[in-house]
Amino acid sequence: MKKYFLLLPLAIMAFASCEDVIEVDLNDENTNLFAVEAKITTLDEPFVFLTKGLPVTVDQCYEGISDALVTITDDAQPANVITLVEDPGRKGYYIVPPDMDYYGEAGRTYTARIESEGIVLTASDILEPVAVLDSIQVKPSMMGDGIFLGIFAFAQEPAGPGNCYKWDVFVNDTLLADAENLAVADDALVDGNYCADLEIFTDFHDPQKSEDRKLKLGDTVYIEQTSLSTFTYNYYMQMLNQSMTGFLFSVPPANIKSNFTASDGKTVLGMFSAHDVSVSNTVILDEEIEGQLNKYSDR
Amino acid sequence: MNRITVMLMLLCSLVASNGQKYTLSGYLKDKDNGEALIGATTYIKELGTGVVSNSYGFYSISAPRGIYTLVYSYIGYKPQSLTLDLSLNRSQDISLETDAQEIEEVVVSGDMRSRNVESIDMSMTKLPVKMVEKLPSFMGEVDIIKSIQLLPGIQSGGEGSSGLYVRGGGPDENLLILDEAPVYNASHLMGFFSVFNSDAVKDIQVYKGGIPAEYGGKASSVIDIRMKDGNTQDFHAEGGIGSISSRLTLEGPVIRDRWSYILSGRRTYADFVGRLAGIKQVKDNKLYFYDLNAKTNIQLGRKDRIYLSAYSGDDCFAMGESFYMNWGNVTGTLRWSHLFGEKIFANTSVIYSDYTYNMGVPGNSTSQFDWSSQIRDYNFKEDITWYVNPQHKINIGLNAIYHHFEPGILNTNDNSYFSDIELTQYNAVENALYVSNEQKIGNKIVLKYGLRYSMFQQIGEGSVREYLDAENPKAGEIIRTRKYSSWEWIKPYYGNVEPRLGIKYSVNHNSSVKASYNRMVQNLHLISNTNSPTPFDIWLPSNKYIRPLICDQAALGYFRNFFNDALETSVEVYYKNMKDVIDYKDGAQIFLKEDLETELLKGKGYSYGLEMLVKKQQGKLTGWISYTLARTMREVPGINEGKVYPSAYDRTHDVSLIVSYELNKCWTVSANWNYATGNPVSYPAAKYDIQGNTLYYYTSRNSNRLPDYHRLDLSVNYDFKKNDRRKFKHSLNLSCYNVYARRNAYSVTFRQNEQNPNISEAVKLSIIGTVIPSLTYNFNF
Repeated sequence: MKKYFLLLPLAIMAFASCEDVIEVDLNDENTNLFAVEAKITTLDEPFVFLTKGLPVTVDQCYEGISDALVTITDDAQPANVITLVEDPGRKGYYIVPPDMDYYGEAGRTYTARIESEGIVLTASDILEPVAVLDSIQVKPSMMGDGIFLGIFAFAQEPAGPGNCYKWDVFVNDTLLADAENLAVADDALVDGNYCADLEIFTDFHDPQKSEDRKLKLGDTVYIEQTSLSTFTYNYYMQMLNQSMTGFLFSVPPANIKSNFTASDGKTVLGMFSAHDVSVSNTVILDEEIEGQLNKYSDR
Repeated sequence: MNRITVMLMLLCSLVASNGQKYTLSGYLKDKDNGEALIGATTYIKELGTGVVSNSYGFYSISAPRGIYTLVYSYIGYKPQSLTLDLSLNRSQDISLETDAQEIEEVVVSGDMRSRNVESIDMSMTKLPVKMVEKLPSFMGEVDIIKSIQLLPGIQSGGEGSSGLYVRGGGPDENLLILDEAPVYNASHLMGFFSVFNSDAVKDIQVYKGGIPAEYGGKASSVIDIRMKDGNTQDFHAEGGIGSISSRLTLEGPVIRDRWSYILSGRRTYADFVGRLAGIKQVKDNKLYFYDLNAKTNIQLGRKDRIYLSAYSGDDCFAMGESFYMNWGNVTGTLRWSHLFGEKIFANTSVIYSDYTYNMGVPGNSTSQFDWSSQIRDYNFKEDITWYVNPQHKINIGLNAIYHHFEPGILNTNDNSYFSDIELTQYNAVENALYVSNEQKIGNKIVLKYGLRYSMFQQIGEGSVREYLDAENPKAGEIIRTRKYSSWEWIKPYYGNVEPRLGIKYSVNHNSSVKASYNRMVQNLHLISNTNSPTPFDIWLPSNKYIRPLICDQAALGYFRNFFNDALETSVEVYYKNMKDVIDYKDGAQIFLKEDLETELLKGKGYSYGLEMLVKKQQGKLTGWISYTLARTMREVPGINEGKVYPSAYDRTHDVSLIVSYELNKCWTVSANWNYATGNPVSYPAAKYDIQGNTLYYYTSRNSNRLPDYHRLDLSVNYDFKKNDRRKFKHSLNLSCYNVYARRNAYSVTFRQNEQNPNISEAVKLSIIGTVIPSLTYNFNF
């Protein structure tokens, strides 16, 4: 619902606003904080990427940290523990050893433990079960008078509050990862209802520039409906807030609290998230869909 | 309690000293249209004493038996003298005629010439509507709120914000009243315009400090806007056709001298024009706002008057069949003024105010919903002014308000995947009693002292969540939810004594020193963690988890006029202390949130500053220059590691220069230039990456500044030549907003460079990055 709320300010800002890249004085501080991105799902094997946050002004990529001791444990009795190994092709990126299998299981709590430079970082997340995604459709969106395509999901939301969702959109098998494409929601307003035609992605773009379209004729599209714990839901919501910072009626920027804690008490950046995944059917954007779009915008 | 005893003793002593005197009272009005003259002077020449008329044009003055020369005066009007034998109580209504020779001066003033030196009020400005109308405007829309932002000590939230930030206070801390009715959201089009149509407005008073006891409920300021009463003499119409809206005002007598009306409307018409022109995008979409003001004023004999005034305004936005949102205020005031004898002026008012917004998806699709939220007030006010004698003026009153809050109701049809939801509703009663006295001691000193006792009680029907740690409520730690039945008192009760003090010492006839202290208590809280208020913010009452915001302010000022009052100057310093300021946890989610208390933080704040004003109200060149040097800080446990940090409203320097020059009877040019230190913001200290998105880490709150803000606006007004001779008068106004097209920063954010994503670049967003010209045609007859 929040996306609706942003439509008017965006419309107003389109009127006379402009952007310029400027030079600013930044707080020159080398925070030297660990930054971790770690994830486990029921579909993919877990990974951990260990690096450090960089000063805003530096022009370099995030360099992974090697030689860390990384384990993932669940809360089963006895616990299933796996020690990840560094991907030989990617520094600081830790994966399940090639000869082993390890997948997340719904209902379990997972803990990531990382030991590096004498410091231990730990984080836990609960892997909530996710509702099954029945299907998706791609058709013109009512937002923007049908000149943009939308992806619509069909699924039963299970009764009982507290379910949180994230939808990952894959176009030609590539995830649309930008925060502006982030689709997350909780079930507060739809608890226990069948959600038909739930619009989870709208391909907003400059109508004059068809090259800016993310969904084009011939593309294949599918969606992964993933579960979020309350913590990760809040994390993604804050990520959205950070990406909207600076617009009319945006929230002032704030730090996003990690679920990692460090043995030396310092702040850790990033998160460890656990997800159950339900994968949708794949839609091919054929002439029929494209034709609907044109027909709709001509009306 | 001691303070109350002292007050009572003072009151008793002044009543005892009231010897055998006679009273002269009456109403002062404009001869042409019958509008009450607010702040006009009645002066007894022989005694060298005088009084100023109140908001209804009423005056009352007492003197020993004798024959006196009375002088009635008001700037822009011909003074009237009268010789009277005051051997019994008398009434005398006076109609003053506009002074043709001074007519040019009228346009920039509606005030007693030396008021700033003579009046006990400090930190207070009367803003003449006629002057506001001459200033350059954004898209041709004359805007009272934007003009108020040009006064010293008052800042705007930048472009796209009609929020007022008064001496470090937040945008929700201003008591904005239209004919006594609170207006909860004064903005149109998300803050680009304000809801007050200047054609319907007679008088604007802005109090930044030294706030009289009759006002309360908000912590920082009072903006008291009075609507015109309607012309009691002749039918009169005025209107205008502007770039985005048109307006029309009709007024006249129903019964001459006794009963008048005014109707005033304004509406934007981009949608109409677009539809007529067949523009497809406009055909399916809606984007407009309107304001409607109506008032009638009936005189029932000499002692009684009844006023009924109403306002309604809405913003409507819809995108085809996909989405709509509307928001608007409705207010209504029924007021009965009665004169008891010749000295006691009583006002009884019943006031209604409502702010509603709703948004949703129309039709019968699965995504259909209608989300609405509302705050509604029923208000009773009794205000009595007792003109005891020329040395004492006592004001006593009571105020009882019933507030009803509906934070959110979600309605859906059978087809929708949304559920019907209703967030907990709140009710509260807010009562106040007040008494104050304005006392003259000799010729040099005037005191104004008063007390206001405010009472706030949340009442049922309702429910209150109780947490494991009541001081620090956390989601998931609810131990029980207590239900309250209708009108049941929900603890705690908040009662607060609010002292109000003012003193003026006249150094000589053209200069004075003034000091004031006031405590203000605010029990309604705008829940908003965005940069500037939005139409979708909700209000909540003080309750178990939100304590009243208490603000103490002391101010000292020196006021001096030069060149026979042609030039007014003032210097004021103030210090303000704020207790129980609300802030929000990092990443707080407050939209559609039931247990909001889990997202709130409490802290304190302080603000101090220096304000200077030089104002010229007479002659061909008029205007003012103001400078503010200020600091506003916050200290909130949970933010900035508990360390003090600059508030988002902290603005070190603020300069406004407003000039209007009348070249001749036809041409007037006006300009305003505004300069302000950039807003405090937080720039990141580090960056990291999650799922291909760069996230930022901040080490301190508001330790950086946006680039400084400055902007020049110009306007040219042309009055057609034949205006002098004809009843039908018309004029053209050309305004240019942001003349030198400065791209003032609304925000600075960071993003990855498109060519090299390893580089983060700072991006300045300017809401208005260009010159915006507009043309308005005005007429009246």
